[in-house]
Amino acid sequence: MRRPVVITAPFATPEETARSYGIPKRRANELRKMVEESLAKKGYVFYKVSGKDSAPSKNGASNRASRSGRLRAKVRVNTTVKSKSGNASRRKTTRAKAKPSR
Amino acid sequence: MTLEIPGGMRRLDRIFSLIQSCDYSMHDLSRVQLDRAEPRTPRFNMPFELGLAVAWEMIGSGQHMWFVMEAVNYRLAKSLSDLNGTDPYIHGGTIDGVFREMGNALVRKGRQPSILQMWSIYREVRGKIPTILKRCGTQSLFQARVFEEISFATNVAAGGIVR
Repeated sequence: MRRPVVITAPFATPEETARSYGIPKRRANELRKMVEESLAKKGYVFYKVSGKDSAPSKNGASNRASRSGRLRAKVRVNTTVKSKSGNASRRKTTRAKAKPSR
Repeated sequence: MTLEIPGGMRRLDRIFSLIQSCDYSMHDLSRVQLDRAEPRTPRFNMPFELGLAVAWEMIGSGQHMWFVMEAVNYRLAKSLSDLNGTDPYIHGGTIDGVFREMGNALVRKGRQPSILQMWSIYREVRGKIPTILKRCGTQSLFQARVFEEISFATNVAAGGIVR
């Protein structure tokens, strides 16, 4: 059997794919939204690419910049998860503190 | 990809330019069979395209990598004995087999999708096909625009599923 080919190039981003096929931005955004919403219902978390984050790639910045944008989005997701649990624990502590004061 | 043939361009020119522009090509010879329409003839497009890819690797780029896929073991030795010594990737005519053999042929360090992830992507994109067909105003999958949208949807789904 042939040796497998080891691919080292990074995965193409949806933007790159759309560009290579010549898919208009509006159509690409519609498709993207459709797939992301469907996967979000199944519990997959997507890195949010807001207008702010996608701006550097529009201006021709390197992948590094867009990657940092994605990382920021990831951190945002993590913090929301943490804050939920944080609220719950805070509620418990306030109740616990309230009892002895009464 | 050969569905996208710009007006006036010969089909063969388009196919060869596509092979030249790709680092890898996959050639599934499992569908070289007699068609239903009379007179019944086998479809030779796939072996012909494989020949072009082999020629491009041997006398052209020297870098191009081609892979042969088959559904049945040892059938290639009978149908295309010139390729004796080349082991085809046998997918057994199943989706699982195609995923497995693609994973055997192409390896990625780090973010390598598992078979389960490939199934998830497949199911996701397959579920979107009726919508895509409706958007494109067609009933056929073999249209350039449909192919583009399916490829794009697959890319987006892979981005969410493969981590």
